[in-house]
Amino acid sequence: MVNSENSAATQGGFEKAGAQAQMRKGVLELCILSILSQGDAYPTEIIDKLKDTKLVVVEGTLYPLLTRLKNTGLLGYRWEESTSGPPRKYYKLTEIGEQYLKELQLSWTELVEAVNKTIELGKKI
Amino acid sequence: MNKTVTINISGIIFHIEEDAYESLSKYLITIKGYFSKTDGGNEIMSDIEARIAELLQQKINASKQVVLMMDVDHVKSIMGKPEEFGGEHTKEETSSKEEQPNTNTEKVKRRLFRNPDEKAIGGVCSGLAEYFDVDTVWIRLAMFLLIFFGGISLWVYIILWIIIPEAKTTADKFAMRGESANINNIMQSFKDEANDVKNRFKNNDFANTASGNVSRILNTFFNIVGRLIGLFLLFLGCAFLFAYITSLFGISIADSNSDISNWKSVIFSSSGNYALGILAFVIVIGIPIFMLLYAGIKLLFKISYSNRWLNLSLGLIWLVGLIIGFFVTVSTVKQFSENSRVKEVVELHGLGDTIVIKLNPALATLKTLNYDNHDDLDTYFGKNHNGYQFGELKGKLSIIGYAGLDVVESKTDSVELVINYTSRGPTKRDANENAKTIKYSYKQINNQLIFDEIFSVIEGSKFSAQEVDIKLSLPKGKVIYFDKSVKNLLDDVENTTNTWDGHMVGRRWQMTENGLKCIDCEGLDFDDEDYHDGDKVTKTVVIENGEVIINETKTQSNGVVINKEGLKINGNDAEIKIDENGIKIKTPKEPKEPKEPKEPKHPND
Repeated sequence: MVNSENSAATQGGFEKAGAQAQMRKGVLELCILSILSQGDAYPTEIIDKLKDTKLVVVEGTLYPLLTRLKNTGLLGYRWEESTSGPPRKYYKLTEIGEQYLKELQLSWTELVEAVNKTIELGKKI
Repeated sequence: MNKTVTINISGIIFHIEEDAYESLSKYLITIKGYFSKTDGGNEIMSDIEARIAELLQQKINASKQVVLMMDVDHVKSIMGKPEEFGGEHTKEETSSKEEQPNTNTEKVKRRLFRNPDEKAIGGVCSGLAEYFDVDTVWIRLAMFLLIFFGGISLWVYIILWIIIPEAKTTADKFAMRGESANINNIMQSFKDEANDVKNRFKNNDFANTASGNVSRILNTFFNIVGRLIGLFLLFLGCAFLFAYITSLFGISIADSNSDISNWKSVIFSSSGNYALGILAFVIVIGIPIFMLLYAGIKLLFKISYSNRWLNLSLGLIWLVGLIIGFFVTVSTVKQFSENSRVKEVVELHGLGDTIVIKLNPALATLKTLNYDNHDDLDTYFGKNHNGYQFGELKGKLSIIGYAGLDVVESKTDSVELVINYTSRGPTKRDANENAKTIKYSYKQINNQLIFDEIFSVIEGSKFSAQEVDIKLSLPKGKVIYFDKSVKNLLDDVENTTNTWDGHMVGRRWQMTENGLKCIDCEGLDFDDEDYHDGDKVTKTVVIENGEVIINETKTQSNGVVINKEGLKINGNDAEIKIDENGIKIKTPKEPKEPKEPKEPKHPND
C-alpha cells in the first residue's frame, strides 16, 4: 500500500501537487506555533484556524506533527475535561517553543522577501 | 434492519453499524501501521482517536443514535488517507523508504488465526497455511496423511481448533496475513536492534538508556526463549500424546482379549466400575497432555488469546476424573482389604510306615469338572504351574488355582492333614464367605495320599486372591515318599539338606527333629539332575572313587566320564577323549569326503 502521490513526490521529483504538499508541510510547523502563540488550543481549534487559511488538506497530518513538536520540547500540553466529548488535550508553547518561533518567523520573513524578489525578477524579464 | 456493534473510542461509547465498524476498524489499523515505527506512535493514535470520537459525536443526536457508513466516510475524508498522515515523517524516513520501496512497513506482525473465509472444517489448515505462507492444499494433505499414523492429526486438529482463535475482525484478518516472521525479518530486527543499541551508547550517557536497552534485550531474549520452551512443550506433548493414544489403543485391544477381559470381570466389582476406571484414566492423563500441547502452541505462536472458561472447566473435569479414579481404586482395593482362613483338619489313619504322596493332575480334575472351555485349559495346564486360570462352567467364569503342600513335624503321634482355604474380601466376614467358595479334594487309598493339583472356585464368584495350602503333619520317624508327579505341588518343604522341592520327588524322606531327612539320596548331586524333562531323557550322574560318570539312560554307551585318566565323552558315533596324550577325536569309520583330508593334517593326532 504505497501511496502513489507520496512516492511520486519523493521519488519522481517535484510534480505540481507534490511541490505544493511539500511547501504546505514545511510551513505547517510555523503556522501551528504561531496559532499557539496566541493562546493555548486543542487540536480541533488549531484545525479550524488552519482550515480558514486552507493550509490543512487533511486533519490527519496535524497529529503526528503535534506529537513531534511536543517530543522535541517546543510544545507542552495539559488535559481539560470537556462537557461534550472526550477530554481535550490543550497544547501550549514552551519557552523553547517561543524562542524557536521567533527564529522561525525571522527566517520566514527573510525567505518570503527573497522568494518574492526572485519572483518579481522573473516577471520583469 | 442492521446489526450494530458497540465500540468505545477514546472513552466514548458509540453504536455503529457493522459494515461501518469494519471500515472504521480497518482504517484505524492502517493508520496504526503507519505510526508503529514512529516515536510516540501510541500518543498520535490516541490523539487521532479522540478527534474521530469528536467528529462522530457531531453526527449523533437524539433521533440518530447510530453511526452509519457515511459518517465513517465523512470522518475519513476529514482526517485524510493514512498515507497522507505519513507525509510528516517521510522527510526523515525518505532515504530508508527509497532503499526498500516495496517493504510494507504498515503491515502488522503476523499472528496465527483460524481462517473463517477459507475453511473446510474449522479453518485450522487455512489458518496455518496463512501463517506459514504455503498453499492450504499442502497443510490439508499433510493432515490427511497423518491420520494414518495413529490418527495423530485428528487429535492435533481438535486441539488446534480449540486453542487457535478465529480471525473474527478485520484486525484479526490483517494480523493473520501480516508481516511474516521469517528468518530475514528476524535477522533484520536483530540488526536494527543492535545498531540502535550501539547508537544509543554512542550518543547518550549510559545511565539514561541502559535500563531501557536492557529491558529491550531481555524482551527479545525472553521472546526467543519463550518460543523455544513452547517448541519443547509441544514436542513433549506430542510424545505423551502418542504414548497416551497407544495405551488407549492397548486397552481396547485388551478388551477383546478374553484372558484380560476375564480378569477385568472378576476383579472389578462391576463393569460400571471398570468403565469409570477407564474414564478416570482418560481424564486424569489426557487433560495434562492437552494442557501441555495447549501451552506449547500458545508459546510457540505467541497466542495471547486465553479462554478462562476452557481452563476452568478443564480443571474441574480433571478434578472430577481424579476423584473418580480415587473412588474406583479404593472400592477395588477394598475388596482385598481383609483376609480370612478356613481350616479343615483331618486325622489320617491306616497309612502305614511309609506314606506315598501322589498327584491327581489338573487335567484329570478338569475332566470331572467338565468345563466348557476344556480344550483351552488343557493346553494351559500342560504348560503352566502357577497363577490363576479361568474355567467356564455353564457360561459362568470360575477361577482355577494351584494348591500347595507343605510337610511339617507333628506335635502328636498321629498324622494330621490341615487344609487352609484363604481368601480376601472387603470385610472379615466376606473374606470368610469367599474362602468357603473354594472347592478342593484329595483321596486316601491305603498308604497313598492323592492330592488334586488344582482347586476351583464356585463359578460366578469374584476373584479374591483365593489360595489352598495343605499342611501334612508327620510324627517323628514316619517316612514319606514323594511321587515324581508332585514336584509342582510341593511348596517350600523344609528338610535337613535344604533340598529344593523339585529335587525331593522320587525319594523317601524321614521326619526328624530338624525336618525331613532324605534316606535314599546318598551320593547324589542334585544340581546335575535334569529335572525339567525328567520323563524322556534321564541322565544319571554317579561319582565313584573320584570318577564322575554322567549317563543318559537311553543309550548306555553314550555319556561323559571324568576319572583319573581324563575326560571321555561318548556320542552315538563319535568320541572325544582328553587325557595325558592330548585330545583325541574319533569320528565314524566311514568318514565323509570333506573330512578325509582334514584328519591327517591334524597336528595333535
